[in-house]
Amino acid sequence: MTLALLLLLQAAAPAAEADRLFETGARLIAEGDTAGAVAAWEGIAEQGVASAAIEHNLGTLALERGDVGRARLHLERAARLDASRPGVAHNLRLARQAAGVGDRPVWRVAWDRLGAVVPPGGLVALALALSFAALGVVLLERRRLGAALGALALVTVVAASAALWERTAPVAIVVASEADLREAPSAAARGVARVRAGEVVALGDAEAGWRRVEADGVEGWVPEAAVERL
Amino acid sequence: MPVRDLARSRLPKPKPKQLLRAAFRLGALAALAVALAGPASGQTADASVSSRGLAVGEELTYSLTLRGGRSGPVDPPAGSGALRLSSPIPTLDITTTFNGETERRVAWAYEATRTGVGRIDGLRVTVGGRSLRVDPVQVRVSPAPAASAPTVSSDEIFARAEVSRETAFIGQQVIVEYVLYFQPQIQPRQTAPIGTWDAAGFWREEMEVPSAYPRSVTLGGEPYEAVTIRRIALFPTRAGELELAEMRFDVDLLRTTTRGFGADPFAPFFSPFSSRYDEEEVTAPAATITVRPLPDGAPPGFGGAVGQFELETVVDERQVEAGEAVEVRATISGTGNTATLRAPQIEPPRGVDAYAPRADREVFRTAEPLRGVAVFAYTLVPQGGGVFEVPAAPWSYFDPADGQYKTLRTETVEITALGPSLAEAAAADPDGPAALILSAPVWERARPSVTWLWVALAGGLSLPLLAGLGLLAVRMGRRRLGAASPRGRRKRLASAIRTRLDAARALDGPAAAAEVERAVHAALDRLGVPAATLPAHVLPSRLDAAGLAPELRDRTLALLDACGRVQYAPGLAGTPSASALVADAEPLLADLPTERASEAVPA
Repeated sequence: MTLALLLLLQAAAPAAEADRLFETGARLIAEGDTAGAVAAWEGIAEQGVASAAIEHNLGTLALERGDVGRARLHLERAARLDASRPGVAHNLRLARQAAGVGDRPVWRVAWDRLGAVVPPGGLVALALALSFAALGVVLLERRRLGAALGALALVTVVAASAALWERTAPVAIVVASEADLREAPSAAARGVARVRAGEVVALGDAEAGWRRVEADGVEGWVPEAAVERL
Repeated sequence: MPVRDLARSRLPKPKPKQLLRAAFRLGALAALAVALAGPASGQTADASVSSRGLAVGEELTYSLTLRGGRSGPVDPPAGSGALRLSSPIPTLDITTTFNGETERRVAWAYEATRTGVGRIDGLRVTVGGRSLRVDPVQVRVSPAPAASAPTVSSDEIFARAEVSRETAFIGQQVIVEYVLYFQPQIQPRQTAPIGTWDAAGFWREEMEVPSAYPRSVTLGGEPYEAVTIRRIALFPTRAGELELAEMRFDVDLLRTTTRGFGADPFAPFFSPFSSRYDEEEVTAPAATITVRPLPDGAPPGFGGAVGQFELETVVDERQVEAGEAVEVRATISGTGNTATLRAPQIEPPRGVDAYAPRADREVFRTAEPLRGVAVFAYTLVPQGGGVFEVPAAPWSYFDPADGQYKTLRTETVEITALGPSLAEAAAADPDGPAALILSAPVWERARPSVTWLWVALAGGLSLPLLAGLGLLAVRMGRRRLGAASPRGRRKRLASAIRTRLDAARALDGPAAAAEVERAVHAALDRLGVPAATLPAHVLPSRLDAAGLAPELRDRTLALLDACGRVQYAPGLAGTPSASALVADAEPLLADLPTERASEAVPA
C-alpha cells in the first residue's frame, strides 16, 4: 500500500510542476511576454510529460516568428498526440506550407485521427482480443465467423505494428534554417546535399556532436543541433 | 626636441604707462583698431631668441613673428644690460603667405658685451589693425667663450618622418608626421608629395595638418623653422618589423640672401636683402615600427578592436505599435580603427524580428590621436503586443595603454509593443494560425517506451497462433486416419457415386450410360459385390447373398441391363435415353443400402 502510494506521488509530482509551468506560460502570454511563455512551456518537457496543447502552442508561436523548423516539429508532435483538435490540424497545414511541403495525405490524416482515438496500446489490446476470439470461434466449429474475426484480427495486428513502429523509428525534423549533409562528421568534410528547415530526415548514429541522417535517399552528417527528434 | 625659449603674448593686459605711450603714438588709429578688432583670435605676435645663454662676444638672433594680418613698420627693441643691438637693420624681414596664412618674420642680431644679465625690451606692434604687446626677454651672458661645436646640418631644408611610437600592438594607432625643417632664410610656400608611398602592413588614415605656421626649433645648435606638412594615422595589421618607405616632397620656396653693397653710397636707399623663388626636392627617410601581436586571452566575440573606446546605446522609441520598427543605435567612439570595428551582436527576444545592423562611420581627422565614431543601427520589429527585453550585448576591445582586454556592453533595452499579443492576433485572423490552447492540458508521458507493447503483441499473438496451428494439425491428422476406416471409405464412395452421376448428367449416349453403370458398380461395391468383375449370370445370386431385397435386386439388374443396351445397342427399339437412365439411377442409388447386411456373407 505504501509502495503504491509512493509510486502515485512520484507520478503526480511532474504533472503538478507541469501544471504550474503551463499556468505561468498562459499568464505570460496574457501579459504579452511570449518569450517568457515559450521558456516556461519548453521547461515542461523536462518534467517528462507532454501534451498536445503545449506542442500546439509552441508550434504556433514558432510559426508566428517564422521559425519553420520548430513550428513543424511541435505541430507534428501535437498531431500525433491529439489530431482531433481542429486548431492543431490547421496550424500543421500552415507549418507544412511554410516548409514547402504539401498537405498531409488523406491516409495520414485518417491514421492520425485513428491514433487520437485508439492509442498504440489500445490497438495492441484489440489485436490480441480479436485473435483470441477468432480462435475460440473456430474451436466452436463456427468456421465462417471464425474466418471473419481472424481477418479483422490480422488487420488490427498490422495496424498495431505500424503504430508501434512509428513510435520506435528514429525520425527528426530539421530545425536549423539549413544545414549541409557532409560525408563525414566534420565541418571540413565535403557536402553532399543540403537540408532546410522543416524537412523530415531519418536519424542514424551520433558522433562527436554530429548526427548521421538520411534525407530523400541521401545519407550524410549534420550538426546534432540542426535536427530534433520528432 | 629642443625648442628655443619663446615669449608670446595675445591680448596683453593694459598698463597705465603703456596706454599713455600708445595713445601718443597711435592716437586715432588705435581707437579705430579697437573698434574694428572684434574677436582677437586671429592676430598674434611672438618673440623668440636663438639662445638663452651665450658667451661674451657671441651674438644671438631675436626673432619677431607676426601672424594674422599685415603689419606696419617695426623698430628693433633696445638691448640693455649685457646685450647690445648689433645693427638696427634687421637680419631678416620676410612676409610669406603659406597655405593661405600671412606671416611676417623680422629678426635682429644682438651682441653679448659683458657678463651678467642681458635684456631685450618689450615692444608694441600693430598686426591686422590690432595693437599687440610683446614682452621683454632676458638672457644670461657667461664670461667664458663657449667651446661647444654644434653639429650644424649642412642642409638648408630637409624633411623627417617622426612617429608617435616605435613599437605598437597589432591594430594600435601610430601617427607619423612628416616635418619640413628649414633655415630662417628659406620660406617654403607650397609642398606636394611626389610619387606613391608604400606602407605595407598598415591600414592608413590621412589626417589634417592642424597649423601651417612654422615653429622655431634648434637642431645641432642651429636655428631652424619646422612645419608639419603631412600627418597619417597608421594601424598595423600584422606583427613584425614593418617599414614605412621614404617619402619625397616637392617644395616651392623663397630664398632670401643679404646683398653685398660694399662701399656703395646708395646702399641705405635700398633693401639689404634679395629674394628669389626656387624649388627643392626633399626626401624623408624610411622609418621602422616594431609591431607586436595581441596577447592571449581575448574574450569570446573579440573582433580585433584596439584602442580606447566608449559605447553608448540610444533607442528612438521605447513604445510602439506591434509591427512597427524600433531603432536601437549602438555608438562606439574612440581611438581605434573605426573602419574595421564590428557591430555588437544583439540577440533579439523571441517575438521580435531583427534586421542586420546598418553601420555609419565617421573619422575626425583633426584630432590627435585620430578618433572615430561607428554607429550601428539595429531595426527591431515586435511581432505582437507585449513587453520585450533586448538583452545587453557584449563588445570587447584591447586597450594597449593597460595591456588588457576590456568589455563594454550595450544597455538592456525594454520595448513596449501596443496591440494584441501573438496569440490574440492569431485568433483574430481566420487565415492565420489557430489560437493557442490555454485550457488545462491532458498530460501524457513524453516519448513513452513502446518496447513492452512490442513484447505484449508478439507474446499475445503467439498463443492463438500456436493454438490455431495445433488445431489445424489435429484435424488434418484425423482426416488422414478417417480415410482408411469403413466410414471414411463409405464417404469416399458416396463422393465417387455423386461424381459419376454428375458426369452422366453432363454427357449423353453411351458415355452417359457408362458413367451411370460405374455409379451403380460403386454402390454395389459398398455391399461387397464387385459387379464390374462378375459374370452377368452370377450377379443375381451375389445380390441376393448381399441381402438385397428382390425388388431392389431386380431394379438394379434392369438398370445395368439398360446401361448395357445404351452402350452396345443404342439403335434398337426400346433402348432408353441417357437422361432416362440418370433419372432411374438416382432413386435406385438412394434406395440401395450403404453397407452389407450383417447376416450376409460374401461368396
